[in-house]
Amino acid sequence: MSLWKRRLPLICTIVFGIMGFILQLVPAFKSFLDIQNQWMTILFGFAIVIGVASLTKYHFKKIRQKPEERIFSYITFSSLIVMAVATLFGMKAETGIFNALYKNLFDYVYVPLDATIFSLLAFYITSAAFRAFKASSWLSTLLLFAGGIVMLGRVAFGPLMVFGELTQWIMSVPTVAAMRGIKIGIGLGMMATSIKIILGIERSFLGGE
Amino acid sequence: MKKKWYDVILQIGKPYIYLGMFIVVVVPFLAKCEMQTYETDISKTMYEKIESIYKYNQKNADSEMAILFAFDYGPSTTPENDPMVYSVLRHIFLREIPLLVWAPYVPYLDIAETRLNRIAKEYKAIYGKDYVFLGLAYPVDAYMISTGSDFRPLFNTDYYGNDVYSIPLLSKYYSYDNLGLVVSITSTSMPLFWLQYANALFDQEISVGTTAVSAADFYPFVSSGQFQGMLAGLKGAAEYEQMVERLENKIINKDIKVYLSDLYRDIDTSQINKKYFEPKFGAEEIQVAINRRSQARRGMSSQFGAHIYVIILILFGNLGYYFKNKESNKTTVTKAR
Amino acid sequence: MKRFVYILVIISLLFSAGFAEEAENNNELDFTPKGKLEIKDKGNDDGTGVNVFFRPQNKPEEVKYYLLRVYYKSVSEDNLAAQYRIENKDRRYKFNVSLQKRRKHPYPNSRKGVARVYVSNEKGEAVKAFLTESTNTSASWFNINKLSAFMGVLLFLLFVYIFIKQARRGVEFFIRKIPGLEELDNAVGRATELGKPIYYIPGIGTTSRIATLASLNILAPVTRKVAKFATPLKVPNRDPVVMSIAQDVVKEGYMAEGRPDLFNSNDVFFLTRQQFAFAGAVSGLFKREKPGAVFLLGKFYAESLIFAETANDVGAIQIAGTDSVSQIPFFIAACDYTLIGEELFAASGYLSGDPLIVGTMKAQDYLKAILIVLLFIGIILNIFDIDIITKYILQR
Repeated sequence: MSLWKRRLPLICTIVFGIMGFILQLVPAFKSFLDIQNQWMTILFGFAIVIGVASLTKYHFKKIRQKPEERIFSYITFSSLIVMAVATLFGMKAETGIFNALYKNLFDYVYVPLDATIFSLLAFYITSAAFRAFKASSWLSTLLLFAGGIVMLGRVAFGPLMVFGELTQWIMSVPTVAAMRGIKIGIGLGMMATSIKIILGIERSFLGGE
Repeated sequence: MKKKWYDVILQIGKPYIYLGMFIVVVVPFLAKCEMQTYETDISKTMYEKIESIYKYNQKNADSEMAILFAFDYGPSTTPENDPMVYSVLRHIFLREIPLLVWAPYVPYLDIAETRLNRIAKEYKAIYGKDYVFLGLAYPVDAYMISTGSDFRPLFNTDYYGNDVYSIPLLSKYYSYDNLGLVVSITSTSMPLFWLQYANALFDQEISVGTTAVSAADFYPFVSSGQFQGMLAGLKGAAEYEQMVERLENKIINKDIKVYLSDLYRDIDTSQINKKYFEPKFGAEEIQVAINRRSQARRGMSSQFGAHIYVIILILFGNLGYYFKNKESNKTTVTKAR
Repeated sequence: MKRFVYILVIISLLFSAGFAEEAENNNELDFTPKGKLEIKDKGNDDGTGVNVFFRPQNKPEEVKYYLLRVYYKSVSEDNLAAQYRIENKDRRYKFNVSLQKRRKHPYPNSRKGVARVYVSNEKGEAVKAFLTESTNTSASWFNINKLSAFMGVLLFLLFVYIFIKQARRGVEFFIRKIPGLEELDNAVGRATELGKPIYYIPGIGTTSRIATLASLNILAPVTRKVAKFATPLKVPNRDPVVMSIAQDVVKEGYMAEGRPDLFNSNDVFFLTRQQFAFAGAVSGLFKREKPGAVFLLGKFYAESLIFAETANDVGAIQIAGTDSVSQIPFFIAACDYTLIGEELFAASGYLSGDPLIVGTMKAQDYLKAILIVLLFIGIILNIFDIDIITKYILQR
């Protein structure tokens, strides 16, 4: 068991895990909780450096190995630099070229691109629904009917209002019942996993036994 | 062998299905069809909660409650979350409830700032007195916990760089004690953070507006009363839009076009800080503002098309499967003989 | 005699000057300001909170506004913690005040809070102070609201202790079959046969999400299986911290199987922190590299269906699992196998068969049973309007 790779991270996990637990239980230590929160902000800031380093390394290697795809790597690098510079100098500025660049990149490149990927869900959901809603057994037929009612009910009006009321019932009674069951299980699972990690029983995430 | 009709149906290529979806979504939207919708209890609960803060503030002019509004969504879900934000902010400004705003991630900041000032402008709200944009609250759990006592030390300055201790609104509102409600409009699981930290630790009441995809996640908390109502997807936004429209017509009691063009006409605009918004309305801007008031209901018409389309597809698909199975059963039976 | 008169005059002048100064400070009022002021320790906190109560007792025509100032330690401008303008109405005002000094984090667990009420003018300025009360606060050493959570943890630890002891003695515990995890070998095998890479996405959460840690725990046995077949394994990441942990996990996995040569740090890489940019990048990778098997385990949000449908499109076997309840339906619709909720957390024990971990799973089941019994009793008692369990045990 090496010190740096295994023992030290394990000791840190145990110490900070138990500390976190105590901080939650003892109000008198609340000011330490504030310090912990401030540290978190700083640590998260450093983490992005690791990320950018990894991304750069990945693309440099890719440019060497797959020259036919290097155009994508160049696009990645230029986007990374341009956006970082524009945000760094333009976000807080009220006027100026960097501010204009940042605003335009954000409003007319980033926002539409992000929204586009999200809206792809509309298409994927059609093909997924097409496969999932198959009346092959009585359970799946039940799912099919419930799904149909909810879909109609969400856009109901006039004579379709009966679906609207049924939808409200489906969403607030059977759905909630199932969700609660799953959520209680998840809650306990999370608690058990946390305790396993804090006590050092589970250490696969440190890379092995 | 000749293809049977059900084979044709079952083998429709994905691109054609996607094209159909594109058409049923785009056509009603471009045709500017508007759809009225029925109002569900969970949306009404949220509306009533904000109304109750207004009533409380009327009675207790010196210990008014504020609302903390969290822009917990990014650029990707603006089409679904924006209409919620617009109508809820409109409600808050109409009722003159003090408003604090923050956003948990950098890409959300710009969205929050433009939306907030856009609506503030329509009601002559004054920055620092009626509303404050605190800026980035990252990592958000730290900020949620700090709001239990005082969030100001973590912010130091607001989004615009003003010292938080110099902003009049923040001398009164800096902890859950004076917050009547937290509104989180989101496409993420942020409401669960609010639940864990603000509600469980500090008994803070929370209302949520969320995309339809994640709404199912939060229904249990709405029915248990941990969330004070919820706007579920575009439909929830459309419902709120209708309710706020009724309220606005009642309070303003004027054609919106006239109201907006008169808003900054007769007052001394030199007193208003142009950093936050330009105190005047152009004709085009007024039109956009009017369109914005029915954004969700226009979206609902596209949603109607999409839902009906998916139902038809599922129906056709199942008919195809049914007849194909029937046919294949028949052939196996004949072969067995 | 003359001298005596002079002295008398001087003394009286001095006195009147003194009084004049006093009057300037206090602005003689033609009524007596009255009110009831209380300051109390808030309790169950870190000793910074006080509750201040004030009830005005003057006629509204005498005083329109009062000003309440709460100080930390002593009355001075520097120590002002909060200030409230109070309208003279016939009601009892309550204020929660934090005695935390601005921008500083002092650590005393007990402090003094002073509340002082002034008569105020129209401008909101203090005119005359007339009531001062003070209290000492104390920090509490246990948050009573977390008692049942604390008891739950203690109970769980007790169960863990019992079952781990049993496991050490060689008692074998039964775990029901989880199809998704049973298929793991097949998925890896099929990708190897097809000569295609395997993609493992540890979700888009940070390390503070337990689902992410659970996913990293599964990555270890998956890597070992992959190492046996020497199939390329790629792990794109959205969080840099998760990435560095994943790199270590994969490296150790290869080393454990005696194949450190297979490890390439470039196979576990960071893409972007933006959710949908990440979704776009990963589906692009799927489309170009056409993986044979895709593992989607961890915390997923709206992008889950984009991953699942793209992977389905390129014909990969998909094993998915998440604790995001709203994403489970999408995974069930689009993926071959789905670990629902807590199955994700149970996976590492299931795969490793480590008696210690399986013991904790057993403990978890017992706690669940106790919770179910409590819920049932709570429901029945609630029918009879007795909320002792729901109010004092389950909600605490």
